[in-house]
Amino acid sequence: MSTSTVKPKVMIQDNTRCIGCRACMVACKSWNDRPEDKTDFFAGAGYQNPRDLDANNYNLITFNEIVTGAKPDWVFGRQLCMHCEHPACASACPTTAMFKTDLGPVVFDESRCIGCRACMQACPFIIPKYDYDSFAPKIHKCTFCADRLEVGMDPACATVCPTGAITFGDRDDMVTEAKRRIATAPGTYIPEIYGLEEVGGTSVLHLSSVPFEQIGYITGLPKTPMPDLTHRWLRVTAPVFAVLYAVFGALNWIVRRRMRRQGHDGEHT
Amino acid sequence: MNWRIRLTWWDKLLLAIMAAAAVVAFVRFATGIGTIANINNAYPWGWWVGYGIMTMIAIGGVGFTITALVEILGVHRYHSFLRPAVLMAFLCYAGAITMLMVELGRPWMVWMVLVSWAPTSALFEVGWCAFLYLTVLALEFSQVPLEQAGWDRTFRIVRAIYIPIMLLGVTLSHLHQSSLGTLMTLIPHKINALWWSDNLPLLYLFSAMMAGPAMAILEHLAAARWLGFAPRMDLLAGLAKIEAWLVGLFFAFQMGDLFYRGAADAMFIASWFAVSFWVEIAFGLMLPFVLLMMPEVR
Amino acid sequence: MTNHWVDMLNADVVLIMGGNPAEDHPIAMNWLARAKEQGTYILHVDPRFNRTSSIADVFAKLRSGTDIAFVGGMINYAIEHNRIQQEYVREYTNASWIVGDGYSFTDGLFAGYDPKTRRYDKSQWTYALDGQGRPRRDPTLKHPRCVFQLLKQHFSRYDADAVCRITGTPKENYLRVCDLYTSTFAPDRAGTWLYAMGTAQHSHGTQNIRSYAILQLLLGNIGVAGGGVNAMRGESNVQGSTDQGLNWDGLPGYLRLPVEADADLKTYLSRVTPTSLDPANSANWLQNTPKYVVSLLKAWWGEHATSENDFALNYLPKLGAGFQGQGYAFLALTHAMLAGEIKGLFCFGQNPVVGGANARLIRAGMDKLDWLVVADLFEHETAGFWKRPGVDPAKIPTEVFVLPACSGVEKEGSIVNSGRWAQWRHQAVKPIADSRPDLDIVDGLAKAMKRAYEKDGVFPEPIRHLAWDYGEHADPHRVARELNGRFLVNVTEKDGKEFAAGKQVPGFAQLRDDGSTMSGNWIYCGGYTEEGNLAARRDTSDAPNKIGLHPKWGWTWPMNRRILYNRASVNRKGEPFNPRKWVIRWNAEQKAWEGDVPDGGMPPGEMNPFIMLASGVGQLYSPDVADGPFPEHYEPVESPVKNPFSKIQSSPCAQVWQSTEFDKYGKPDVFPIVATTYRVSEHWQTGAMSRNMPWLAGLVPSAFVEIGTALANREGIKNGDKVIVSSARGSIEVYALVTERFQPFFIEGQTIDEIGLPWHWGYAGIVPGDICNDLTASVGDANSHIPETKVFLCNIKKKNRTSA
Ligand SMILES: Nc1nc2c(c(=O)[nH]1)N[C@H]1C(S)=C(S)[C@@H](COP(=O)(O)OP(=O)(O)OC[C@H]3O[C@@H](n4cnc5c(=O)[nH]c(N)nc54)[C@H](O)[C@@H]3O)O[C@H]1N2
Ligand SMILES: Nc1nc2c(c(=O)[nH]1)N[C@H]1C(S)=C(S)[C@@H](COP(=O)(O)OP(=O)(O)OC[C@H]3O[C@@H](n4cnc5c(=O)[nH]c(N)nc54)[C@H](O)[C@@H]3O)O[C@H]1N2
Ligand code: SF4
Ligand code: SF4
Ligand code: SF4
Ligand code: SF4
Ligand code: SF4
Ligand SMILES: [Mo]
Repeated sequence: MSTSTVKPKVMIQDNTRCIGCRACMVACKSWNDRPEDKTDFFAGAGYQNPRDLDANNYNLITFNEIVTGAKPDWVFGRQLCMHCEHPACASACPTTAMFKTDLGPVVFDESRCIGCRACMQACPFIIPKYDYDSFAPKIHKCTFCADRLEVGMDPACATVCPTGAITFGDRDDMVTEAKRRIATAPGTYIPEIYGLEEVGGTSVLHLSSVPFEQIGYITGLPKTPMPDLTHRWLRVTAPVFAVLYAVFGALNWIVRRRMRRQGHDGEHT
Repeated sequence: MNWRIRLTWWDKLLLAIMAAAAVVAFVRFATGIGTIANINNAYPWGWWVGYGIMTMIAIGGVGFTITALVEILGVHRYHSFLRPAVLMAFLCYAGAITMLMVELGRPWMVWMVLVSWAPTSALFEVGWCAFLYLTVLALEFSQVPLEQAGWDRTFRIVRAIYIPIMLLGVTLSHLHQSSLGTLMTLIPHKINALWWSDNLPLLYLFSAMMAGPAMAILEHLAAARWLGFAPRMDLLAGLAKIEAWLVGLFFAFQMGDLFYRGAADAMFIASWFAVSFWVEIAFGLMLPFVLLMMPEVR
Repeated sequence: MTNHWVDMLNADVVLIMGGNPAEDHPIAMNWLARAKEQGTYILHVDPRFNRTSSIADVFAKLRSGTDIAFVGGMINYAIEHNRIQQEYVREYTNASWIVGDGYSFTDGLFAGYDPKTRRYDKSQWTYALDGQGRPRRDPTLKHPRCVFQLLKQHFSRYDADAVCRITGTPKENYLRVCDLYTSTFAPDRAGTWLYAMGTAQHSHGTQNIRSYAILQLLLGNIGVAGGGVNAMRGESNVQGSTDQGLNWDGLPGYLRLPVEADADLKTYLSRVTPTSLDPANSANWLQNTPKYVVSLLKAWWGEHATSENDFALNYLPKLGAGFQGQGYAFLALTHAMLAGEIKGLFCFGQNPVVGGANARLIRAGMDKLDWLVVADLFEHETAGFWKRPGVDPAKIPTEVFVLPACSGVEKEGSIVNSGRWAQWRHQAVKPIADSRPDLDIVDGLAKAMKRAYEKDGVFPEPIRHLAWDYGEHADPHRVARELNGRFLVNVTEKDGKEFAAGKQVPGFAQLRDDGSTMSGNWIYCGGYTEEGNLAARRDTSDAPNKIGLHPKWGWTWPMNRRILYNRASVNRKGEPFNPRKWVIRWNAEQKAWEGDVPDGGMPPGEMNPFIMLASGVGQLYSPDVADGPFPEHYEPVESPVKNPFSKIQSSPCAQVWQSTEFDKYGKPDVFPIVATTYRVSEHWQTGAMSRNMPWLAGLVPSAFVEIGTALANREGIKNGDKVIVSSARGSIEVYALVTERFQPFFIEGQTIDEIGLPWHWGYAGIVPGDICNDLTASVGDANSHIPETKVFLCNIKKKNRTSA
């Protein structure tokens, strides 16, 4: 396949269509070979288990009971890697063990990882997780099923979702589709696509019937790519180095010349 | 020579701490870092990074500040502080790296940083700088043992390249001290507005500079006490004055930054963040500044 | 289902009542989600707000056990607001039929009730006949004794206020449901009605469904695209298993078992073959019953079934009165087991000590068995009943055999879905270890029995002569071919068509009552013909009417008809009521029907559309239902509320078992809270399949009860507390999930709390829990005998910390 035909992929998570069945969670575990969770009762609101993403859960459906007046509503949300267009995690990684592929997935290469967790620290969505109890820990997060995409398959979660809450396709089509849904059913959706602009855009676009903060999403993120924050400084590394070195060199040269003139050679003891 | 091992109370304490550290390290490698650190998936860096590594390196800032003071700004009065400062820096960095080995999930892979090209990563820069700087420090400090051991040729080579190496060291320090700040600029979502700033790299750099004279003073006093010489109070007073100015400048910069970013309001909100911020400002900046500005204290 | 899943897309309004498809039929939600996107309204009526409610446009709560009141009010609303499809009701239902003088309804009782037997004499409910024995009709629907007027009168008592006072539904929500749903009376609008166990598991479950059917008929919603009364079926192939007659009282294809009095074939056939009062207008398809019965007997006993021996009719078991005169449905069977009447039990794919109502009684009954054979994927609670907690295995005499069965993906065969689509499945993986397909297990058993009976036995002929020829390792294709049936001799039909001996029968119209054809199940006839295995077809193309019939995908009984009673979608001229979404239509030029396979090929005209009913018309009034020709609201057998509709508190015909120490009933003073039971997506039924599946077990690990915030506050219960839920029959310890989704009901001036228990736990598996059915009672519906597991009385208390 020539690279020019590679069209980046995007996933729509349409929470208005989600029925909280969690087929996607089971499919994700199945495809990624993740062990079960040892749980007791429920760790979150409603039937939610586990409470947060972790090394064994790359995908989490959240249960949000929202009561307006006497009217209860049950709204489901989803947490998974957003596969940012400008991934903070990858930009923070000192070894490029975390990187973004042409098709969109931000993936992790175990063989390069030093386990510094800068990626975890950097992610504005608090997504990457770590094997805290392992001798040779790995970083864990949704892979966008990169291994499936490579062979032309859709992600496991998108394949099993019964209601079409998860839709997967080419970036352009998906963005259009997300906008179309909001435009055609303004009563169903809030007019916002989470992920379209957040941190410079992501590969997962979430839609919702209620404001995203009500279903536990991290909101108020900048619209600019996160890596810009560090780039500001890092891109000047080389010039700063050169300038500083020169300045220090010059100062040192002046100082030494003056000292030689004054005729003493430093105070080495 | 006739060595007799005589353990002081302090030695014993230090040995105990080292033994404890060994146990902790063992546990960590046997069961993962989760058991020894209060970190989790949302806050993957804790004490080890925040206190251990960051502070160690900041304290290690004594090396480049004093070097710069003496060698670059040519304030030769403080020349006697130079070698202890370099030693101190070396120890700090070595300590930081040891801690890093415990802290890193896959320490055996750490060389990866050196064979990667990750210019967008602050950690990548820190890694390289720290590595180079450690080498520099080693070279700088190697003059002492080389000279004493009488390895003249090697000593002469090291001396010959001392100047460019020293300059490199100072420059690298500026870079990675600020890069540690850069590392943090990426996580505005995890740092309260009172601390997080676009200008964290500069703040980090300044705080390392601040740490320099302060550490040098401490070091001198400690050495005087243990090795039994009279401290050079005149020199110390000079350093203290420099320190006072640095603290003052830092404070001014930090406040300026806060107001410039429009985050100053957060100082006056009744929250634990604001309280701890004020405690930090009061005891970390204002108090030392006021004290150091008083000649009698100096 | 009268319709099928894809057809949901054709609905303008979907009403889900007594079902929770988001959790129990999640794949079906695909169609509902798509329908909703096209603008279909989704209404959900349920005691609590659940995952289905979360995507519904309107959620209306009702107290468990009050569906008839709720729907009765909708019927009243439709009539009062003249929202009925006039032509449809006049022509295609028995609205105009005049009911005989015997029928009456006074204070909760229909005519003919015998309190001793708790049964009605249904002969009092017959129609008024004219001189020729035909039913009298009044097409103006004005006659005071016509069905329509009786119906109107019966449901006039169900006005919105009276209804909401008993169901606890907020009136505003109720009226919104009434308004939206009855809007489908317009001929070009359709409403579909989805239901499942929330409807069925009641002492008046059959009447619940009757009420849905009546409303659908009034609105002209049966037989049309996007309409129907649609049961979302349960177990993966439960539709198939009911089709095959795996009920205690039936034969394959819904044929009826002979009884003692059926001395010979003629007597039997004349008893079970329906006759129409109105033959001129009714095709009465089931008048063909003899052909189906004889073909079935030929399939089972082959050459040993001859006209001389009444085709071996007497090899069939005779339906008796059953245990204590109550038949042998599940409740009777478990009581018979406890009484020691039943010595041995085969449990194929069932886990009754968890799933059966009044489970403590069932466990006690199992202790009395001589032997038990379990064929299952797992060693579940039933297989291990003898080592359950608190029991000394040494004291249990039962010999237990556990046969490892393989799962659905490890074998080949057909599965029939709720929409009656038979879909052939191929084997995906080989069975693990020594597990085997059920067919293999039964085949081995049958062959061994035949060998044993060859030697000797009481009445050995039915076994000895059984035609059992499915190959050395039973081949599902041979079974499927037998179900379809074949010609046994060369046959020439009246119209000259010829069929050679040995060829597959093309459809049940070709089955014969002279022994020249055989068919294991007449309704499956046409599914595996000379064309091949039609259930294996995977052609997604649609029929010309483009309403999602996809006629070449799999195969649907009967005769690949996707929408039952589809002749009711056209007027007497064969023109569709809704030309936009027509199901069938008459092409006058070609003199043929187009679209779906019509319900009978005869041209449009006087012939009534409901050909499977003897009368040919939809039954607003049904003289065949055990507990009354019209549904009437009764309270559940255990209820905290006095029935305000009549002095009859609970269904007068319900089976209420009283005979054992386990049959105790609670009063509201001790057990003031209404309890219901239901499922969650993450678990399957008794949990054998899901509580042994680590991923699912991790999602919902513990047995729990859902309780409303108000009740929780009153009882000092916090989310995650352990609580004791008790009924007159037992008590269980579970976690409390405190939620706003369960809200109290205001009923007749008092506040009634309801709680809900998912019932998936037992003592086996990787996440065990207490058995919810220890709380439920042995109460059965009068017609289906299904246990009333959807409502009973209970109490709930926080678990005493000191006793922990
Ligand atoms: N995930 C999953 N899916 C399943 C099953 C499973 O165990 N797990 N089981 C399968 C089987 S065998 C079956 S039969 C079906 C059953 O499918 P459903 O009928 O959907 O099953 P339930 O959850 O038992 O009950 C449905 C709803 O009825 C409500 N309800 C309770 N009382 C009443 C009442 O009086 N009136 C009304 N209108 N509603 C009431 C309950 O609150 C519940 O939400 O599901 C099938 N699908
Ligand atoms: N309180 C309460 N009780 C209820 C209900 C309720 O809503 N509330 N619902 C009722 C309903 S609708 C139903 S259908 C019953 C269900 O009650 P059961 O039928 O007893 O429950 P299941 O757990 O479905 O049992 C099916 C068994 O079949 C096994 N199995 C799966 N595939 C195969 C196979 O291919 N071959 C063989 N041999 N075995 C297989 C599974 O491992 C499992 O043990 O429960 C009823 N009980
Ligand atoms: S969401 Fe976080 S982990 Fe995922 S790509 Fe973005 S920054 Fe990386
Ligand atoms: S933990 Fe691994 S993947 Fe993450 S930043 Fe460090 S090296 Fe990169
Ligand atoms: S894309 Fe793959 S890895 Fe990511 S949540 Fe879906 S199934 Fe899991
Ligand atoms: S599979 Fe689809 S509907 Fe089910 S929980 Fe996941 S996103 Fe929601
Ligand atoms: S369990 Fe099977 S039958 Fe039930 S919804 Fe899922 S796929 Fe459909
Ligand atoms: Mo069922």
